[in-house]
Amino acid sequence: MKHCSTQLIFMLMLVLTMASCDTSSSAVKPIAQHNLTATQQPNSLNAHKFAIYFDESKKLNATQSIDKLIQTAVQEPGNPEPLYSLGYLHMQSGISTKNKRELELADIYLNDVLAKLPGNNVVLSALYNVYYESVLRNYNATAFDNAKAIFTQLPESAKATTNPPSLAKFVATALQQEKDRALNIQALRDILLQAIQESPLADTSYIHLAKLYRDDRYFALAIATLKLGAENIRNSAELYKAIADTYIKRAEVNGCSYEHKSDIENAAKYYQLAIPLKPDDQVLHVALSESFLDQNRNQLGLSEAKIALDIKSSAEALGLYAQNLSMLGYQTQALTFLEQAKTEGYNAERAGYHEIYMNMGDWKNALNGFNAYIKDRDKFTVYDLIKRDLIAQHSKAEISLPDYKVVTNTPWEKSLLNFWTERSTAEDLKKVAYTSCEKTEYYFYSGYKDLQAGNTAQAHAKFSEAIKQNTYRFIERPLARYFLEQ
Amino acid sequence: MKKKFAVCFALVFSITTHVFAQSATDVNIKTADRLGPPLTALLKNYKPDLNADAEIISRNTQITIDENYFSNSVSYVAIHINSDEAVRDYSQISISFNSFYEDITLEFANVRTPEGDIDTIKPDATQIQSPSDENFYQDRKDLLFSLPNVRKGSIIEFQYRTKDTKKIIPNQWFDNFPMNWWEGRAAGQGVRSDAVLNTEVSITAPKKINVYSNDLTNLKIARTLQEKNGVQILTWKGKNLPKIELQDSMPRVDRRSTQLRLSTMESWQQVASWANQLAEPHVISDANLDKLITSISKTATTPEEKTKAVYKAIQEKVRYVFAHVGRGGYEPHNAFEVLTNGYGDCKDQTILAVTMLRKLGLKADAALVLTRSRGLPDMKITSVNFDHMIVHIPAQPGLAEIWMDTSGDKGLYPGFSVGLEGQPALVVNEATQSIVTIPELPASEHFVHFDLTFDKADSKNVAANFSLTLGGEFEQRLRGMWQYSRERDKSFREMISRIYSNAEVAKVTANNADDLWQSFNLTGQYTFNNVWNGGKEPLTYGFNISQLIYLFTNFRDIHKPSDRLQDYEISPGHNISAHIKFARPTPNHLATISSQGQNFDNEFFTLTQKGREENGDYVVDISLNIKGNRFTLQEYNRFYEQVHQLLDANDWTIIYRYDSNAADMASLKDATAINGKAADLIKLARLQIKIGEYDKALEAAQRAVKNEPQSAEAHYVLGLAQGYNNRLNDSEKSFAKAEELGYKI
Repeated sequence: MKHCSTQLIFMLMLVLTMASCDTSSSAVKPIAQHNLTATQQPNSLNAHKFAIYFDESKKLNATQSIDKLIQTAVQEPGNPEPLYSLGYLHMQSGISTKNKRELELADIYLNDVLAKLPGNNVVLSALYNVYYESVLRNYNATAFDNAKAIFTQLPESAKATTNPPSLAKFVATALQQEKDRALNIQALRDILLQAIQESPLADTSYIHLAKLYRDDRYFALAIATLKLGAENIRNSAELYKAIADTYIKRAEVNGCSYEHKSDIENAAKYYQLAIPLKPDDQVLHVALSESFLDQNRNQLGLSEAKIALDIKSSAEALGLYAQNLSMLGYQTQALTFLEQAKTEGYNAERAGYHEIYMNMGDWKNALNGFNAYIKDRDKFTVYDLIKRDLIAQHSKAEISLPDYKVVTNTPWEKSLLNFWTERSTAEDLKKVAYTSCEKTEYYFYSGYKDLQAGNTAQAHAKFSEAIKQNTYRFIERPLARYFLEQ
Repeated sequence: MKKKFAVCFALVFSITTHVFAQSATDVNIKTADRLGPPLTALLKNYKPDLNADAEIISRNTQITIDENYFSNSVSYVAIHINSDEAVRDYSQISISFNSFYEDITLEFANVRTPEGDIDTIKPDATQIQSPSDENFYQDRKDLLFSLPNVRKGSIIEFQYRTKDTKKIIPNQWFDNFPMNWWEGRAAGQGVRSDAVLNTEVSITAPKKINVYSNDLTNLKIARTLQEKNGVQILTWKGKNLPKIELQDSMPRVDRRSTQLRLSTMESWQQVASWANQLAEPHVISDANLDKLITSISKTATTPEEKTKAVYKAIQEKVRYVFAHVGRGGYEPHNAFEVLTNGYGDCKDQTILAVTMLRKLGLKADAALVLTRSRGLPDMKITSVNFDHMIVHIPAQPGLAEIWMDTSGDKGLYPGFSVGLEGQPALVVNEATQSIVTIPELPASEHFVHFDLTFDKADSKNVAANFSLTLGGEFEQRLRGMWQYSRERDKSFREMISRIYSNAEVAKVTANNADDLWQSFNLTGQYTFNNVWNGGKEPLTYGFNISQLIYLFTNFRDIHKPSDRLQDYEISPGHNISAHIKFARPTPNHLATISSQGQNFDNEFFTLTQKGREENGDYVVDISLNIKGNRFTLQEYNRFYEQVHQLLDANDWTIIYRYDSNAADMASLKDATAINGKAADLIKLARLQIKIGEYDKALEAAQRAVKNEPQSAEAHYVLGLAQGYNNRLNDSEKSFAKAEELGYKI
C-alpha cells in the first residue's frame, strides 16, 4: 500500500489550443518591416476586391475601431497597415469567439498584406494563427496546407515558441476519433512524427508522441523519443520532466518501483535537470522529493518536499509533507504540519489524514479520519479493508464497510484479499509474493495476524523482514516499526 | 547624332481630314452657296440625342473632277454640341492640307446659340498655320478657325472648298474621305468621332474616268451611279453612323473603317512607276560620294559587310531633317547632295543608301511604306498613301532579303522597327506590280529578359545584381527613352525599382545606348535593407513576373469587358522572361519552396515557370510568351479573365532555412558510402531521425547493426528507427538487446 503519488495531468487540449501566445495580446503589432519581394498589386483592384468584405467586417464586428480601419483602408489603398489591423482583429476575435467567418475574413485581409509584404514576420504569425485555429477546429480542408506553407516562413526564433501545424491536426484528429469512437493510435503517432519533422524545436510533439508510446507500454521507445527531443531542445523543463515521469511509470508498471532502482535514479536525475529550468515548479520538486524518498535518500527527499512547500504552502503540500515526515518516523513534526494543513483546509477525508494518525498509534483520530474517508465512497480497495480492521481493532470501534464494495485491481490484491478474509493461508500468500513490494505486504500482514494470534516472536520477525524490503514509502514500514515498539 | 523616328512624307492623307491646298497664308471667307438646306430647315425635324456629347447632323462632300483630273470639292458639316467637353473640342476646327498641291477656302462658319441666335465667324479668327517641328520644313499646313459663342446646346456649321492646283500624279486622281468627322480633341488629347446622322460623298466626273472605290457595306453604305450627258455622278449616302470610340490596342485594320477610298488608278504598278521616275534621277553620285563608296569597298567585301558599312556611314554622316519646302514632298534630293548637306529625310537617306549599295554591286531599291501609325487600310484601292520610305535589298547571292531603315536612331542594324512589321510596302521600280507585306519578326525577337542574381547577404542586407536585356520593340523603346529622357538616370532607376518596389536601386548602367551594333541593355544592382536577421535566421525571397508584365505590357490597364467597345489586337507577339537565382545566404541554409508561380497556356499567352536547385541555390526560370493575336469582343471577356488570373498568379516564395545538419548529412553519407563503419552509420541514422527521414534512418541503423552486431548503441538507434517506422515490437527487442549489451536506456 503506497502513499498517493502525484499524478501527471496531461493538459493536452489546453496546451494546444493556441498556435502561439501572440493572439492573446490585444495590441496589434506594427508590420513595418522591409521585404525582399516583388509583388505590388494595383491598388485599384484592391479597393474593388474588398468592398464586399468591408461590409461584412462591419456587420460581424461593429466597433468604431473597425469602422476607422476600413475608412483608412479605403482612403489609403496602398497602405497595408489598416488591412493588417483588420485581419489581426478578426483573427483575435475569430479565435476567442470560435467564429469561422471572422477567421476567413482575417485570412483574406492578411493574405493581401502578405502579398504586399511577403516574408513579414508579424503578418506571417497572425496568418499562421488563423490557419492553426482553422485546423484545430476542422474549419476547412485547405487550412492545414496553408498553415504548413506559412509555418515554413516563420523565423526560427518564432518557430521555437510556436506549435507546428501537425499538432493542431493531432488535436483535431484525436477529438474526431474520440467523437467517432474510432481510435487509431497509429494515425495519431504518424501525425506527431510529422509534427516533429515540421519543427524539431517544439517539445510538445515529442511529449505527446512519447505518451502514446508509454500508454502502450513501449517505454524504451518513449524514453528514447523524449531524449531525442532533449537533444534538439536543451532548455525544455517539460521534456526532462516527461523523461523522468516515464522512468517512474516504467518502474511502476510491474507494481513495484523498488525493483527498478535505476529507473528511479534516472527519474531523479531528469527531475534535477528540469528544476533549474523551472525552479518554481512545485510539481517538479514534489516529484523529485518522492524519487529521493524512494531511494532512501530521506533528507534530500524532505528537503525537496520543504522547497515545494515553500513555493506554495497549500493544504495539499502541507499534508503531503506531514505524510512524508510521518512515514520516516518524525511523528511530532508530522503532527505539527498536519495541523497547519488542517488550517489550510486539509480535511479528514484525505487518506493521509488517518494514515498519519495510524503511523503514530493515535487510533482514535485515525478512526475519525477513516470514517470521514469512507463516508462517501462507493468502492474500496483491499488496503482500505485492512486499514478498517486495524483501526477498528485498535480503537475498539465498529466500522461499517461492506465486503461487496471491495474491489481488487491486480492478482496480488486478490491474493491479499483472500488471505486477509481467511480464504487462503499465509503460506499461499507467500508463494505469490515475488517482488519486494509484495513481500513487504506479505511479511507485515501475515506478521500482524501472527501478532493477533499471540505469536509475537514470529510477528516481530516478520515486521523486521517487512522493513528490510526497503520499500521506503510503504505505509507498512512505519506500522511495522510501531508494532515492533509496542 | 540624334534623330527622330518619323513619318517622313509630308503628303499624307491625315487621319482627321482630307488634304487641301492653299497658296496663301491667310484665308478669305467667301459667301458661297450652301451644299445643304439653310440651318433652320436642316434643324426642322432634328431631334437631338440628349445623351450624346455631340452629334454630326450633316456631313456632306460634293466633288467635281474635270477632264484633266483636277478636283474641286465642297464640304459642309453641321454639329450639335451637347457637353462642355464637346464645347472645348469643337471651339476650334483644324483642317489639314498640303499647300503645294491644293488650295483651301473656308466658305462660311456659323454658330446657332442655344437661344437661337446666329453668330458668324470673325475674320480675325481664322489662320493658315504651319505645324511647328524643328526638323520638318514642308508644305503641310492647317486651316484653323475658332467659332464664337460655342456653348452647350449650340449648333455649329461650316463649309469649306478645296481645289487642286497641281497634280501629284499627272492625269490621275485619288483621295480618301471619312464618312464620319474626325475632330482633334482640345490640348492635343487625340481625336474624336461622334455619331453621324447623315453623311454623303458624291463625285461628279466625266463618264470616261473610271473611279475605283472600296466597299463600305459594313456601314450599310452602297454606291449609286447616275449617268447623264457624258457625266457620271457617284454617290455614297449613309445614316446613323455610330460614335467611334478609340481604344487602346484596337486592330490596325479597323482604324479607318469609315474611310471611303477613291482612285482613278487601277494598279500599283502605276504608283511604283511614278515613284521610280521621281526617285531614279536622284540616284547619282559625285566625287565626294564616290570617295566614300571606294573607301567602304576597301574594307567591306561581302554583301553583308557592304550593307552594314552603308548603314553605318549614313548613321554617322547624315542627320535626319525633313527639308522639302516647295517640293511637294515626294521627290528626294540628289544622293550626293544628301551626303554633302549632312542631313536628309527618309527618302533622301534611302536614295543615298540605294546609290551606295548599287555602286557597291548590290541590288537595292527604295520602298514606300505605310507605317503602323497609319493603321492598315484596305490596300485594294491604289493611291499615294504612304508615310515612309526605306531601302529594300532583295535576296541575292550571299544575302537574304533586308528591309533597311536608316532614318531611325533607336534600331539596331538594319534599323527595322515594329512600325514596319506586317505593313504594306511598295518597292519602287518599274517591275513592281503589287503591294507586298513587310514580314513580321517572330515573337521571340521582341523580348525583355530580366536576369537577377541575389549574390550577397550580410547580417541584415541583401544585394542582387541584375541585367535587363532587350530585343526588337523593347530594345528600341528603351533605347529611345534613354536617349531622349532629360533625367534619364532618375527615370531608369524609377523604372527598375518598380520590379522590386522595396529595394533600393543602388546602381543602373545603360550599355550600348549610342551603339547601333550592340543591343541596348541595362545592368545594375539592388540592395534590400533590413530583410534578414543574419546567422541562423531564415531568409525569404520572392518574385512575381507580374511586375515585369506591368512594366512592359498594358495588361494592367486593360478595359473591363463592360467598357471594351472595340476588338483587341496584340501585335507583334512578344516574350517576357526572367532568370532569378536566389542564392542561399550560408552553406547551411536549405531552400524550401513556400509558393510557386503557376503556369498558363491559353490562346492568348503561355507562361512557363520552372524552379530547380543548382549547386545549393534555387533558380527560377520564367517565360511569358504573349501571342500575336486579334480577337473579338466576345473573346475579350475570356482574355480579360485570363489576364487577371495571370496578374494574380502566385509569387515565387523561396525560404532559406538554417539547417545545421545539412553539411553533416552530406559528409556522413559520403563516409558511410565509402567505409560503412557502424559509428558513422549510427551518426547518420541519428541525423536522419532528427530530420524525420525515418525510413532512411532504419536502413542506416540496420546496416550499423549488421556491420557491428555487438554495438549497444547500434541496437539502440535501430530501436528508435524501428519505432518510428511503426515496427514497435521489433523496437522493444532492439532496445532490450541494447540494454543487454550495456546501453543504459
